[in-house]
Amino acid sequence: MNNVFELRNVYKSFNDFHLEDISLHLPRGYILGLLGPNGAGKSTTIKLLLNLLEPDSGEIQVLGSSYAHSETLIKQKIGYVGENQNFYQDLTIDWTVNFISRFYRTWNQEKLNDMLTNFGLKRQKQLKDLSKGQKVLFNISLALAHEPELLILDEPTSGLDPIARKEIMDILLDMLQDENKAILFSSHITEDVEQIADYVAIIIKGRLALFDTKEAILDGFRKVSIPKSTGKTLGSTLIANTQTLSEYKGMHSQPASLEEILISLVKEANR
Amino acid sequence: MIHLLYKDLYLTRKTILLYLLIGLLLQFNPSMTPIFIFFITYGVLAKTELTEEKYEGYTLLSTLPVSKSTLVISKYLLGLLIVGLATTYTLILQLWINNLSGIAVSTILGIAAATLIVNGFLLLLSYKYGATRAITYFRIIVLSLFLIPWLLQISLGLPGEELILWASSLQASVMTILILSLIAYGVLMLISINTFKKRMS
Amino acid sequence: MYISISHHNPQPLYQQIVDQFKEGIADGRLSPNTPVPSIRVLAKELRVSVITVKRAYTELEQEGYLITKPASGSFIAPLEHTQLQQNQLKEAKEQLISLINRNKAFGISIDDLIQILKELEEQDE
Repeated sequence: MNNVFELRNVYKSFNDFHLEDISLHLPRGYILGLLGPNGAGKSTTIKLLLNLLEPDSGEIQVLGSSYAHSETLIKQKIGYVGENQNFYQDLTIDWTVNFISRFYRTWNQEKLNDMLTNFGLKRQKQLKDLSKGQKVLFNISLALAHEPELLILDEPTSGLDPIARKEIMDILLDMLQDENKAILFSSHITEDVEQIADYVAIIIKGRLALFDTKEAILDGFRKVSIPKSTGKTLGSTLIANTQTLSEYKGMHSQPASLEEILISLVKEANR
Repeated sequence: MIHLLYKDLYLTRKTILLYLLIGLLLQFNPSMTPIFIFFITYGVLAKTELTEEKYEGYTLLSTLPVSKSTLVISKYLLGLLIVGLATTYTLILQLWINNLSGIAVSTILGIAAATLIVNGFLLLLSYKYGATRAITYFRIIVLSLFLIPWLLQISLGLPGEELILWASSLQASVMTILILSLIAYGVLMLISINTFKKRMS
Repeated sequence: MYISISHHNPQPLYQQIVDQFKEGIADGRLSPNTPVPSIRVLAKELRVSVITVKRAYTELEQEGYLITKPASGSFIAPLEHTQLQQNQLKEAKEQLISLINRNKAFGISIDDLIQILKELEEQDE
C-alpha cells in the first residue's frame, strides 16, 4: 500500500453545503497541502478522513483499511491537530500528556520532552495560559508523540507569527525524513503550501478544482501579459493554463504563484 | 476506559467535593436525604457534559484511538459510580448519625434506582441535543414530574413520611427494583450509543 | 557548499537549486565525486518541498551533472572542464534565442543587441 489515504468519489451533503465527488490520495513520504477559500470544504474533507463525519457515498481508505472495520487501529497511526483545538483548558500540560499517552500503544516520551523543552513549554502550566502559537506547538508535539504514520493538520499556521510558522515547517519537514510517513495540512495561506507541500489540492465550493504535484501545477499555469504596443488588448495580466496558451507575438509570460493560480480559479468558479 | 473515567472524576472533583459536603449537612434532616443522591449524580453528569461541550471534548476524544461506544459507556459508568458512591455515603452517614432510624434502607435504595434511570435519561438527552439544551429540557421535565409533587408534599406537612410509607410497602421487592433500574439504565446507554454515533456522522 | 534560495525570485525554486549546483561545479566548489545531501535532508535544510529537490536532482542527473548510485546516494559527476563549458554554451544559446524573440516584438534587432553587448564589454574594460 503506497498511499496513506485514498478518497474515491466521496459525496457529503449538509443543509447548506455539499462536498461533491472528491477523489484524492497521498503517497507515503510526501506532504499534501489542501487549499481553498474559507468554507470551501477543507475542514469537511479532513473530518471525513478522521471519520468524524461519514460520507453519503464514495469510498475512504486510510492506511490501507476502512473505518468500518478498524477504526481504532487506524487512529493508533494518525496524529491530528485541529484548528482551534482545545484540550481541557483547566488541565496542565503534564496532565494532558499523561492522559493522552494512555490511549496509544507507541509513545515516545523522550522525543516529546525534547520538543516541549525546545518550545519553552513548562510542564506545570495550565493550557489556558498558553499563547496561540504555544498551543499549536503543544498540539503538534502531542500529535507526534505516538509516532503517527499520517499527520493531519487543519489550518495549523493561521494566525501565527512568522517565527512560529517557521518552527512548524521545520517540524513537518523533520517528520518527512522518514519516507514512510506523510502529512496532510489545510491552509488558506498559500505561501506555506507553496513552500513545503509536494502535492496540492485546491477545493472550491465543495469541488476539487485541482489536484497534482506542486511542480506540475506551477508548470501548468503562466502569468501572461501582453504589451500595449502589440495593439492587442487583453487586460494587464492574466493567469493562463499552459496547454491552452498559444504563443502571441510579443507576449510576456512568467511563472505564476500558487496564490495567483488560486485566485484565478476562484474567480473562474464564481463566474 | 479507566483513564476516561479518571479524567471525568478529575475534571469534576470540585463539584463532587462540594456535593459531598452539602450531603453531610443534609443527613441531619433525614427527609432531605433522598435528594442528595439525585443532586450529586445530576451535578456531576451535567458538569462533565458541559465541560465536553465547552472544549469540544467529544471531537477531540473521537480523534483518539477509542471507539464511540467506549466514550458513551464511560459516561454511563461515571453515573453508576457516582450513584454507588452517594448511596454508600448516605448509608454510612445515616448509620453513624441516626443509626438508620430516620429513613429506611429500602427508601435510600429506591431513590438510588430512580436516580439511575433519571440520569441515564439526562445523558441520552445530551447526546441527542448537546449538553446545554439537554440540561434545560431535563430541568423542565424533572421539575414538573418529580420536584413539584415532592415539594407540595413537604409544604402540606408530614415531611417525608408518605414517601417512607410508600417505600416500605415496596421493601420486599427493592432488589427487583434495583435490578430493573440497572436494566433500564443499560437500555438507555445502548440508545445513547446509537444516538451519539448518528450525531457524530 | 551553501545553497540559498529565495521565494521572491521569479525563477522556480527547483531551477534556483539546479543553477547553483551548476555554478558550484563550474567554479570548482563542488569537485567531482563529492557526495551531495539526500533529497530529504536538502529539502529540510532549504525548507522546501521534497518534490522540488527531487525535480532539481532529476534535472541535474539528466544533464549529466549528478550521478546516483543505488544505496550510496548521489555524487557530483566527474565532468571535464571542456564538457562543462560546452554545456554552458548550449544553455547560453537558448537564453539568447529567447532574448532575441522577446525583443523582436519591440522592433529591436539582433544588431541592436550586439551593440549593447559591445558597450558592456567596453565598460568592463
